[in-house]
Amino acid sequence: MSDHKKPVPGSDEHWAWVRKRAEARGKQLANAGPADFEDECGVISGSVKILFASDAELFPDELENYTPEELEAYYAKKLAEKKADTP
Amino acid sequence: MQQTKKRTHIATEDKHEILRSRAREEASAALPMVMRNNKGQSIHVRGEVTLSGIDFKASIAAKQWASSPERLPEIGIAWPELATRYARTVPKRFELAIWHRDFFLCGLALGKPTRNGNKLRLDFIEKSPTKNSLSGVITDITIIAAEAHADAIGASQIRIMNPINEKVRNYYLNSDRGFSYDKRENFCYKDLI
Repeated sequence: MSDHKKPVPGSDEHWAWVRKRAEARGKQLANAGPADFEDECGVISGSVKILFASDAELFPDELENYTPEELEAYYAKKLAEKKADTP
Repeated sequence: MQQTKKRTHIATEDKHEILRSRAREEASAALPMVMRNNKGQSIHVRGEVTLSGIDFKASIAAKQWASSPERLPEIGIAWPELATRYARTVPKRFELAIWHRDFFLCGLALGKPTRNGNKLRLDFIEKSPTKNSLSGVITDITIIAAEAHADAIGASQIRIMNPINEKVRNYYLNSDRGFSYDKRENFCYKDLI
């Protein structure tokens, strides 16, 4: 599955690469058998709340996904906590 | 300023609509020839399953889900409004409607890349509230389409947010599906190597 020579995005080679990987995954999933839970529930995963939540809310440890405003608020909070801890 | 923002949004939407469609096309063409559903029947997936965006036709079909007596009342989501709102705010979204014989809407999914673009979040996956011929393969088809989309946009990981229960979570963690679980933030993830 691994392909170290990733083709240029948008090129024909890239789309052929996307398809080849999808085919390999499809074969693997077809062999894994059906999902028995699909007889029971409608929602499989997620929620409306998650749909509109930011990365910072969902993955608070990943600062690289914060918006500049969220980062600013994060550092301001950390600074305030540090000040509060300082005797 | 507002006009520039609007133009940028439209340009991003257009660019990503082309990406979404092409990635779905590639995923469609790559679907397994045959998969087994929950009744043990062999479904000719590549010939009978169509993947589309959540367009007008999908919205109309999904509207009927809300009135289905088999749908859990606590879900309380009207898909057409939800998909419209999501589309308005997330131009880089992943969206998927899974059809059987181009007529029965069997599954819907929405997601988006993380801000730095290297992970694809699957924020919501729902199957039709009624049992149908694709029961048992909808999640796998969603995974195939989502991974193709992630490859198309250059994301190296997919994340399935908040699996609804332990059974669903364990299904992703099955070795053939290759997901791991982040207990703290409650999502299943897979690196696309």
